[in-house]
Amino acid sequence: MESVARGAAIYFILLIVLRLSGRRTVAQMTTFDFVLLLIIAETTQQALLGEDFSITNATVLILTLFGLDILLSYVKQSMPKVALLLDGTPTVLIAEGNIDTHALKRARVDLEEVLAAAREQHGLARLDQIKFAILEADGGISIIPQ
Amino acid sequence: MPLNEPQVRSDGLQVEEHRQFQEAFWSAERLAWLGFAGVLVLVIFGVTGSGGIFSKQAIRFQEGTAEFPRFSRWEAPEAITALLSARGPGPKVTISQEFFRSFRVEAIHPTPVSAEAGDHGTTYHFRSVPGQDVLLTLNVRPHRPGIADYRVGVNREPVQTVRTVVWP
Repeated sequence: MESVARGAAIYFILLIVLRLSGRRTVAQMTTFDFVLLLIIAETTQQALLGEDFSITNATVLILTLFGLDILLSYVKQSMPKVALLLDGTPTVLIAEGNIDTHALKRARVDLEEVLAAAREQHGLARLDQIKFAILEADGGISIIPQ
Repeated sequence: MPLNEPQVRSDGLQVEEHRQFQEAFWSAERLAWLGFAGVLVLVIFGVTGSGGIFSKQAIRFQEGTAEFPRFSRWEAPEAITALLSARGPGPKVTISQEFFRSFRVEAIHPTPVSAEAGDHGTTYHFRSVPGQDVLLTLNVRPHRPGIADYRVGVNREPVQTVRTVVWP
């Protein structure tokens, strides 16, 4: 019982903190973000397991975490507002070549990152070759060329 | 489950943007960051236990003082210290049973001469050298999260109520 409570608590704490820290931390991972992720994994491990390192405890925790994930996926499917809250929504950063500086600033995205996505996805050289740039809900940047 | 096709915008892009929600969420994010900072400030002051000026509380008796945790963490080691003046026979410390419902005593230094359970809780008797104060250390570990209210007494003095918040 304690394992299920620990697993559920850590799952929801991580969900809330990661969601509120901004989606850029999830998709646009730098080396430092990767190190941060490793530290978070190491930090939560002890809180998840406590002093019980048995296979039974690990199994209970794995089932708890997967169970919560499956449950949340059903909740999100039947309640779009919950899905919006948990997963976020795409944000159009450039529309028909017009740069939305407000959206870029609020989403903490640099034009450099938009240009990098344009180069990677379409081999574009300049900003004026971008028709649409969308910050997707998963944190990735999609580019549609002119 | 019906599939909701996103509407095509006037600029030709078919995407469901929910900009109003996103604006509100960006504001909520920034408020949450202030909340994160606030929590960290509380941590520095010791509200989450394990160090910080508010993490311990001093309980004063006529014949000494004891330092108990005000905030503690579930399954995290904690030390309770007491400095008892050397008057009369060896000092004794009484801790009510409520304490033991929340804390597990792992070690006591110096080792008590005896421990007896009574109506007011468990009383530990210590040996002391005449004229020398006794410094006691109880290494404890909270085994239940929640608020622990318990009573502590030294020698024949009236007991005092102590409260420790054990964070999960």
